[in-house]
Amino acid sequence: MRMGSIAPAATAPITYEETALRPARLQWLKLYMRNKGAVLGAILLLLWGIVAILGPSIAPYDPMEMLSRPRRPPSADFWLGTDLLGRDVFSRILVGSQISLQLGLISVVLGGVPGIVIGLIAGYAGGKIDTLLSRVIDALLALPSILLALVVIAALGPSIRNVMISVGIATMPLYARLVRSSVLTIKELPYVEAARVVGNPTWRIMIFHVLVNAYAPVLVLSTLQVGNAILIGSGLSFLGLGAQPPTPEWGLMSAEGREVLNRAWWISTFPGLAILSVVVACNLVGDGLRSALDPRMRMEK
Amino acid sequence: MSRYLLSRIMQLLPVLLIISLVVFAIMHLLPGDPAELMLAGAEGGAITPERLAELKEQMGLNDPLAVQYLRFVAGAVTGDLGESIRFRAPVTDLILDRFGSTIALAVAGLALSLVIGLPLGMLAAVRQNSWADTLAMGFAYVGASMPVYWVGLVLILLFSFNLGWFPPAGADGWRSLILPALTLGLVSAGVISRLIRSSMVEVLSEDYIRAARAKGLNQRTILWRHGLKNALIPVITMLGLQFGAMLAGAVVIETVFSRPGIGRLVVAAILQKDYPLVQGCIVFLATVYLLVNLFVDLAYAWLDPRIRYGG
Amino acid sequence: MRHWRGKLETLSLLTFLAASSALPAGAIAAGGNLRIAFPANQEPASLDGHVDPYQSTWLFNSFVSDPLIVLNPDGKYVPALATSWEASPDGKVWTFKLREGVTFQDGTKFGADAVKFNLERIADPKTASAQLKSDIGPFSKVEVLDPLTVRITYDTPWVTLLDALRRTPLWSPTAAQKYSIAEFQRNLVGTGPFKLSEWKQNDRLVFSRWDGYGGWNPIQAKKGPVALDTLTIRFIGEASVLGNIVKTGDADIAFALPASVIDDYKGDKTYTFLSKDQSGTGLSMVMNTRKPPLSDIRVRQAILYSADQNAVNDILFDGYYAKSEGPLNNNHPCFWSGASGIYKTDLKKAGELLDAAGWKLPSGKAIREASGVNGVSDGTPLRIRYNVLHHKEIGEVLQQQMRKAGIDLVVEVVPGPVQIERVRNRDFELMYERQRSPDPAILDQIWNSKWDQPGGWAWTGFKDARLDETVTKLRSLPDIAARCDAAKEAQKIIMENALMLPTLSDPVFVAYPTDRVKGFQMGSEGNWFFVNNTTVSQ
Repeated sequence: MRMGSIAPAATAPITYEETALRPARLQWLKLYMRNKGAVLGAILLLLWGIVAILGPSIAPYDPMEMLSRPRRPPSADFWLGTDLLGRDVFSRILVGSQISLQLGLISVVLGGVPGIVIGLIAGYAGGKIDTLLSRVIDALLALPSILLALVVIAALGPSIRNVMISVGIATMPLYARLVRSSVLTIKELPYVEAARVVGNPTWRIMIFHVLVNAYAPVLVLSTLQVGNAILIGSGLSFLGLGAQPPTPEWGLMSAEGREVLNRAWWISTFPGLAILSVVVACNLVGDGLRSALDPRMRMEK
Repeated sequence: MSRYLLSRIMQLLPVLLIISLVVFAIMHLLPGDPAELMLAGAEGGAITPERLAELKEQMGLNDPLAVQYLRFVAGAVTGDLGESIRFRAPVTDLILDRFGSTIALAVAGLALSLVIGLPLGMLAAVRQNSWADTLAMGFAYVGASMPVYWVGLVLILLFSFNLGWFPPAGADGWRSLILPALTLGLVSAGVISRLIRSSMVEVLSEDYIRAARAKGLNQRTILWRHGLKNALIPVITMLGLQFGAMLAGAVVIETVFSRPGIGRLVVAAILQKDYPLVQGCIVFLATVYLLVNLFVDLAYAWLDPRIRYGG
Repeated sequence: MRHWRGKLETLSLLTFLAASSALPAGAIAAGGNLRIAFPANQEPASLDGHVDPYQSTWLFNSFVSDPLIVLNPDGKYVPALATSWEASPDGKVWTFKLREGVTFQDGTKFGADAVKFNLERIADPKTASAQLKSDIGPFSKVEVLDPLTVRITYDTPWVTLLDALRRTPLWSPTAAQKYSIAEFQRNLVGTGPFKLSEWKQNDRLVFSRWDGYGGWNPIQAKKGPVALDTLTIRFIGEASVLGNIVKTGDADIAFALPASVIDDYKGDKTYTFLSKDQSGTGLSMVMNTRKPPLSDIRVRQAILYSADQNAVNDILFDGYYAKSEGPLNNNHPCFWSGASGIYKTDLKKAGELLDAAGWKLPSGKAIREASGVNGVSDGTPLRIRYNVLHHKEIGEVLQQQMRKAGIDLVVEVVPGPVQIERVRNRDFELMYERQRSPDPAILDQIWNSKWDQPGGWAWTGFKDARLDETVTKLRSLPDIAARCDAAKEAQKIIMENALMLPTLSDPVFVAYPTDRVKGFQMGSEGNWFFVNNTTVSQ
């Protein structure tokens, strides 16, 4: 089984220009499908997506209801045992998939959109604006993201919505830096030059020429960030500043059960495995996309 | 070289200034004030509102914000980061007390991640598409995808509670460093081994390697002398970022393993709105991070002759 | 007119007999290096109790410095560095006779001057004392009557002085003047059994025996230095680690164990397991009566009727937590016993009260909605926010219980800054509030409407002349029995008006290996202990 990035095939090196101008959709899909790890990741994500949509209807029990004695080990009645309050861990994981996937996706959107805009402006405008924005981006990148998220949560109060906002803010500089550097490369390409000469307005060039051609690294980063956001969310839950009870968010569930890890291992372990499966899937898909979209492209973060 | 270094260092200053301003602004946007927060958890008898107001004055919390910020910057230039509101001790002392422990953790974590990640990545690259590759990469993906605190607790459960090999808490010599460093190292090893694998795979297909093979050079020599050396270049750029990840990971790991450190210090300081301490810690951590990355850049330029020092 | 006096001879003799009979002969000779694991979230920020506002700071100070008075394990004030004391009938003038022949660890002589110095240091604005200054109170003067007699005078009665002094460390004036406030906390010098040797913050606190100690703490059975060679407090961050650290051999005593591990120790003969309640208030939730829905007493009562604290205790803590039924804990000497059973869980009654208050259950829904409630638009769901800093799991179980009565209890864990903000804006329905002092005067702080102002601790918005008058007495009545009567009266008013939701109270659980640790004594409060008679064998 192949995992990770694929070595560039022994064909002529693909230049950025060519991939940018001719996206060759089928070609990247073919490359992607050859990467078994990436396919596995995609299948996993798809499965979790289906679970997230069906969650409440396929869960055997009400995820909020205290059904039995707390801390009951896995059994025929409760496949993954019961938690500290006597709720069904399995049902909570199924229903919680909605929340954890939303946490990943929404925080990526919240961080990605402003990040991309800032990166576009910095990269395209250049000069003093670029210098200033770049320094701010550098400054934010030098702060550990969990601390940035923590400060935001301490100001807004913990809730799943604020976790999304704070994780979004913490990931914003990553997008800004990535888009800025892509823009710097693309901006010099002849066809962008041509669009400018023809008299297209700046915003049009930015969106239709620059941004459209920077989608590949952004897509890869976003896939990886979905997993990362879920991990940061679990870290915040560990520090007691994540989702609020009784939300069946996986990070919160896993953090809540940690005190009894050695006597009721299932309470913390199964939500932990759920997190693991989604994050692994995101990383597999991200790496797969990276090598399929541009074998030469390497992203360092 | 020294002019380049100097200019790079000068570039750090505005970045640090922005960081301090951002942190200062956010901390003052936090609701509540340190005196009230301290007393909210106090365990004595009654305190009157008058006494609270008096205490704020005594703690110097009533000065205008601009004065407080300028005082901070002026002090920071001379290495004086002010006095912590809660600890009633100089911030510089509080940080230096814990710095050794955090650095030991980060360096040991990084070292373990290389010890685990390098051979794993190389194995996967050399035995591409074999079961060894699958296994190594499976390990890499899993390692990098688990909540850190959970890994830490499982290690405690296994190696401390059950086997009794290492202490579950504290910062008492190398034995207490192993488990927290391993926790951090496992996460980073996942990232590093994936990177090593992909860059190694790429390097091994380069023309000069093929040429070396054609010349009949020993497989092992090719692998170690040519392959690894070139495959390491992207890894080195990564190390600076991984070091940052170590510092971030310390926030959680230091709590799990009850280790003293800057990560724990800053989390407590944020929640208590001890802003001189938060500012001091964050500016300090950012400086360390930026310097490490500067060093990494230099190492990178030194390793890769294609890169020249630019102004 | 009433005077009271601590009688040195009888008391110390009694304690001596009590303590020595509890100890096997010859055990003291063993000494040893005692390691106590302590929850990391209770580590002091500053180690100087004049500055820091926490019980743990004062506890650790008590190893380095004996106070004037000790609150013994039976809850009685007994003489330590003061041999006797006397208060004027109006509670304004306090006179203390001091022990002779006491020296500080740096050789400075202890006497009335030293007491005066310490009290004035606490009051000094430069110290910025967070709590003790308030507890010792606004004295008008401290006089040295003779080298061993000191008199403290107030303008208003100050009846809670003894509770403050039993926590007040007395530092050597020589040492305290030598260092700045920032430096002194690492260089503490007192009269106590141990010297401070090392404070590695976030990790450990190490004390070593002072051989010049005279055994002035009345708890100590044998005069002279204590037996232990060193005492180490290790601060542990994770509850699961604290719960197992005695078993891994990394500590000798685990202090404040999580309830989840109790069964491991309780059933095991090789361990001694102690559980000590805390008085003061429990983990209580005060109600904001300013606005609907809690402005209606029927809704407040319905909340009390729909909660089942025993079930919470059973589900979460295997029944090891203590019931709390009112604004003071059930084990408090001034607890009003009428609070027991006043709100027995009764979902039917809760439903009737809510119906009458205009919160009706629409068919097919689980949560009640307003229908003709004054100031609330019809159809608004009955949503009550439950704000806590910790122990959120109690809220989670209550949430399930109240749902059965049609109440949507929203549990929110709020970090400190957010809590302050909400309290300041009076933007809450149920807010966690807790005071740990055993003195009933804490009721004044929480329930006197006089303190309903920024920085005050009276959050409920409930105003009642009789309640205000009753709790004010707690600050001026010198007689303890009369103060208890006033405290009981206040509790009755509070519970009849359903102003707070008592949940549970968390006892402090301690475990240590029986054959290795001897003579460890818990105080009368769970958060205090004595190691004067303790020995440990390795």
